[in-house]
Amino acid sequence: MTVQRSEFDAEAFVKSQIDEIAQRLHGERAIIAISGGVDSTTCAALAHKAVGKNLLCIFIDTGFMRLDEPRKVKALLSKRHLALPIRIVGAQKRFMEAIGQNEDAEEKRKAFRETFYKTLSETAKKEDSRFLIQGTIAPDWIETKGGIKTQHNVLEQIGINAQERYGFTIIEPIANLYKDQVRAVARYMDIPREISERQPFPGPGLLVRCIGRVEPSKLKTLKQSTQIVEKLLATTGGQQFFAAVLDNATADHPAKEPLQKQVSEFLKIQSTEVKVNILQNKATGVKGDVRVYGRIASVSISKEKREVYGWLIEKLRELQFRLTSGNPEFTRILYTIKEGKESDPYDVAIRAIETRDFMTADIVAIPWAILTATAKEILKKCSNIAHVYYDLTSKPPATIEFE
Amino acid sequence: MKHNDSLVAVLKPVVPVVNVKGQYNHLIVRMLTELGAESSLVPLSISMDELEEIGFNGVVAGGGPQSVYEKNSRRELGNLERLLKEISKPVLCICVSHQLLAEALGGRTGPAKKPEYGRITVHVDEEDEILRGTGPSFTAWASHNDEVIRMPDRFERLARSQRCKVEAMRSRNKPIYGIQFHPEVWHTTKGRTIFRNLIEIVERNAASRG
Repeated sequence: MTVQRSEFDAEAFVKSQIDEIAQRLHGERAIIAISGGVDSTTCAALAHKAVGKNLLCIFIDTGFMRLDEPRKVKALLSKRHLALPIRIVGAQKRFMEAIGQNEDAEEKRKAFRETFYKTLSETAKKEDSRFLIQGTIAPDWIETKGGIKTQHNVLEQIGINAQERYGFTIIEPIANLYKDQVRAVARYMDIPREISERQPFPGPGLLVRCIGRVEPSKLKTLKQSTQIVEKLLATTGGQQFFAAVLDNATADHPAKEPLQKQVSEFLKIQSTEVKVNILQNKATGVKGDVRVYGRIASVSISKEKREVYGWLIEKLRELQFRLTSGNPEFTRILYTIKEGKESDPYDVAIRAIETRDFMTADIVAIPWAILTATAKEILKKCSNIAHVYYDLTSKPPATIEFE
Repeated sequence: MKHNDSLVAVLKPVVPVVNVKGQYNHLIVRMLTELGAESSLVPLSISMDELEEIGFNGVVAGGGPQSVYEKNSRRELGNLERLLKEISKPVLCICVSHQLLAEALGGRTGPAKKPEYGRITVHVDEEDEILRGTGPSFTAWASHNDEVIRMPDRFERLARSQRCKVEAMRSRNKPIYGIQFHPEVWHTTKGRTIFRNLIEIVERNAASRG
């Protein structure tokens, strides 16, 4: 018996999916929700090849998009080569109202999902379409089904009947693929590199990076920081790199002292040179296949020593491993890069990870000089930030996004 | 996946993956498929007869969120536990299944004194068959709240880490292996080697059965 390697075959996949979509739609109209990311664009390109002008791409502007994103995406996908028919549906106010004062990660995600499908459902009715195509991929439904996170695009895998609730049938051509396989399909289909190699952006957008309660000034700070991080970290080699904004608010927690001691012992520095804070915001994590809506700890080292450890990323990785493995409630460890004004309302965390399939992830060893330059730029552009951190946490015990 | 027994020798090895509901179960299928085996997820409730019917040559049981010493979890995993006792073809048990394997064959699993989430270093004691080519140590990704406290009789330890005593073990009597970390994830540097070894074991076993 000889074993032959059978790597993923993009060509065969494209052929079979185009046939399948055409068969399922059988001459009817369909809409597809697109975000400008590689998953939905690849799906749209497949569907467009299958049914041509019977497809309409809907871009919902949720308000949780990056600066100028709707316009950019439309321009990119309308280019002659792809020529996807696109409509932008403005729904910022509606989403903001639905999220309201919710602080809990899952509640926010659920409110987002509900609004997302209601908006799509109305559009589908207007367009007289019974079918919704979406670019759900494997990690989306694996995480939702496993109770780790509610993805905005997962319904049927968790027993929600889309036909009954929203009036459309869902088709998911790439639901069994991982990100790297989707990219292989995108390249095979000649989708522009700006999209095929684009870093992933979560379905609920910046909502899941605006930790805790959403406020307009917080969201604005997040958009500005996102732009800076995406620009300054572009060449550092991560598959995903972004900013998240947190409340500059700490919690009284019994683990504070022990954590401080663990840090000073592990790094072999005096306890007076280490400060650990437990934040009020929480973050989604996963430990032993179980979701943990866990605590976030920030580690601040005296300014003289900070840079030394900033360069010793292996040491910081190990520190993160020890702190999260030894303290069951904790799923995030942040390392302070720079301080702004202590009285300011928000903190920014920079996260950069390397991964193949987004099922596991390690942090990127970004040179300290780049981290400090990025933090400096963020503090310069946003006037309401108290701390800029680097997120040291791998997946597990963290997830890639904070919420 | 069904095929005629007489053709086994020229076909791909059939290695289904029991879905224990962990996040990485799907990645085991992907890994096996990429290495040339035929694989798909099968439910926890799958019977020996059904496994025979799909013509399996070996089986992998994945990880999951359960704690095997808790009653409800144990009931949920009852069928898999029976299979682990019964199967004589090669079996690889990962994470929770590794812990279940210990309990099923007379060892013990309990809460880990020092759980591990993320990057660990696995120290190989015995390259044996399943860990061939992975020693003396390699980086792996783990995620577990529980661990094997005592191995079953006639089992030997193959690997350990700083925080966990039994990262890998095998039976001396039959080709059944338990691994605590996750060889199926990309960050485990020798994961592919381990699955290649498994496929070789499966093929040898199938050939010896004629």
